[in-house]
Amino acid sequence: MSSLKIKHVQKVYSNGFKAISDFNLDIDDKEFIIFVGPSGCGKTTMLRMIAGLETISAGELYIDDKLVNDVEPKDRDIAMVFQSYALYPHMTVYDNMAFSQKLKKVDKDVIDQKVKKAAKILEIEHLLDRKPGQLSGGQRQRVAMGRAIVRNPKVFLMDEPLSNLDAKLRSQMRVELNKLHKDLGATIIYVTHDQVEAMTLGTRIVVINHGEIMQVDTPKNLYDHPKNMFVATFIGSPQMNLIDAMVAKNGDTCELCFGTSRITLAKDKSKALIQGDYVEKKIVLGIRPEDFKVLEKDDDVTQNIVNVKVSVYENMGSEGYLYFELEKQNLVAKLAKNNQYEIGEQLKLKVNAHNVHLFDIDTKQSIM
Amino acid sequence: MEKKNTFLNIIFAILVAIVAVIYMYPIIMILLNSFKTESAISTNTVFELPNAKSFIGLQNFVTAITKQGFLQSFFYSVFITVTSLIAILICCSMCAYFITRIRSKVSSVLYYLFVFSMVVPFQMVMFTLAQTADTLKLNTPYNIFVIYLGFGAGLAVFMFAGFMKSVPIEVEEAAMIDGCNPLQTFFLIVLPILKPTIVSVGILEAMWLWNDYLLPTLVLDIKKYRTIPMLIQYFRGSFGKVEMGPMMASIVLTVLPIVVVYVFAQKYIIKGMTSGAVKG
Repeated sequence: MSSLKIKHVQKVYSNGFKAISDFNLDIDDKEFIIFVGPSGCGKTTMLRMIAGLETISAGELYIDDKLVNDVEPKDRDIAMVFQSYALYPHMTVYDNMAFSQKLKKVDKDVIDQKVKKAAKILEIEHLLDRKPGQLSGGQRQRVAMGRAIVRNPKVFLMDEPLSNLDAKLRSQMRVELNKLHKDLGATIIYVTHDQVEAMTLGTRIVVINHGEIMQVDTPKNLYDHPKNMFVATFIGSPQMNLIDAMVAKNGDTCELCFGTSRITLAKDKSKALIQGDYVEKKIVLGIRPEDFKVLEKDDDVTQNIVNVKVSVYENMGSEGYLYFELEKQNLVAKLAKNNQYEIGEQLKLKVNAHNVHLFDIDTKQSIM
Repeated sequence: MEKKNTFLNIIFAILVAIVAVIYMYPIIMILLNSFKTESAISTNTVFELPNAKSFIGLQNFVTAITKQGFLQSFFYSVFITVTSLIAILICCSMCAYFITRIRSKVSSVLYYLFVFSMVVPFQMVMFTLAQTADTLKLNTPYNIFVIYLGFGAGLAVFMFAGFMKSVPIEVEEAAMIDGCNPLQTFFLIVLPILKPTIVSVGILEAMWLWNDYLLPTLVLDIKKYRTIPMLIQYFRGSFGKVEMGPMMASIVLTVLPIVVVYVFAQKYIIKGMTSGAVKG
């Protein structure tokens, strides 16, 4: 297994469209890297450039410190699992998995050993004589994975491999992929637009938008400390609530005012606002849905309260999503306690001021 | 509603049966008369089934095979059909692969040229073609396949290109990553996937090549080389005398191979036609 270096890589198409601009990333050995972003953000293009299926317009790509910009896909020692699996329909599962080794003229016994070993890992030994047309989506997905494993490549590239599976199978395969990563000790680059996959699989996540890296970090850091409003809203479901608020100074601390509501910030956050010269200026306040709490009638809390009117309440069983309007913005709260709320009901919500996020209204970057 | 559908189905079945009979009738007539005496064919008993008096067994077939050099003509027909077919299938599938995978102005102009060639009637080009074939020495059964390649390419490229579009490019990319060069990708991956289209293009082209009369008549030296469709004409002797029995027998012998192939490959033809050109 091996490491990857992507230095100032760009992709510009012949019609002038810039799909990737100045992509820089170091990937260590045995990392499970996730490229995540909305449709058309350039994540698949970047993966295809690593695979050698797209040319690199500018910049350098190193696999194991070897410059591979002009190296053919077959000589890069990578394996790719495609979204559509791309199995050879006229070959049996065995032949699909053995194909790359046959081309390399590897000894038949060795091929047989490798294929059977991979089939055992993926539990598809009983399918080896079947053709792809006779397999279910999940089985095809395993065969595609098996084809990659047999090659024993330096880097595994996976392009939304679970997106064609149903929800149940997808969660099952997620667990297996995690296990596979540990068993193989492989370097994996995985493209997805599904943030659940990104959060559960990745050792590090690369959030991409419009061909640019927005943030590279561990799933936890990405969630807790988003660098900008894009990452803040992209990671997390339901997404983070964003409210325009005015900064007011009150002694050592700062207060965020929007409408009739006021949020008193903790000292570290207040300090950042004062030092950043945001006092008496507008910023964007970000509140995760789970940082709201419904106040009971007998609670006598007075600080950091917002008065809201319920628009919709969705009961999800283990939790509930409370949608409400605040200062003409539609917001959502994720409530752990499974109560029932009526449309139009007036509620008092307490905001957990320790966990709020602050963003510059112009640059959209995090202030902290 | 269901009753109405059943009624329509019956009407449709009857209509199809009538059309089938109209199509089959001449073939059945030829088959029946190939077993009859000359006099039974040339009088008004031509429409009757062979009876004890008119039935002569395989005698017409023996005459057909021995008299006019049928076996040699059969060889020429088989040779021309096979060589032309191989040339058409290999060259046109590769050409269609280029056209569908290399998206450029040149490739789309090429594609439309091929499609356009299908609407140009053969009669329009046949005399210049005969001259050119003579000049380039393409006037023997051994190299006439070059001309057939040109005339068969339109349909073949059109059908191959249609089907090729439905082959996902990821399969070829997977092959590239697995270690295939472009030729290996084509021959080991794309061509096997194209099997139904190859069979259907093959059958359509083979029927045309086997039955073609005009092109070999114009191009080949008639005295030296006769394909089967040309040979059949030679049962028509001088002074208008026609040997109907052996002629019918040789027609049956000519039709037989293509019918047998068609029956065995029928499912591929339908599959190839529907998944290929129709889908676009």
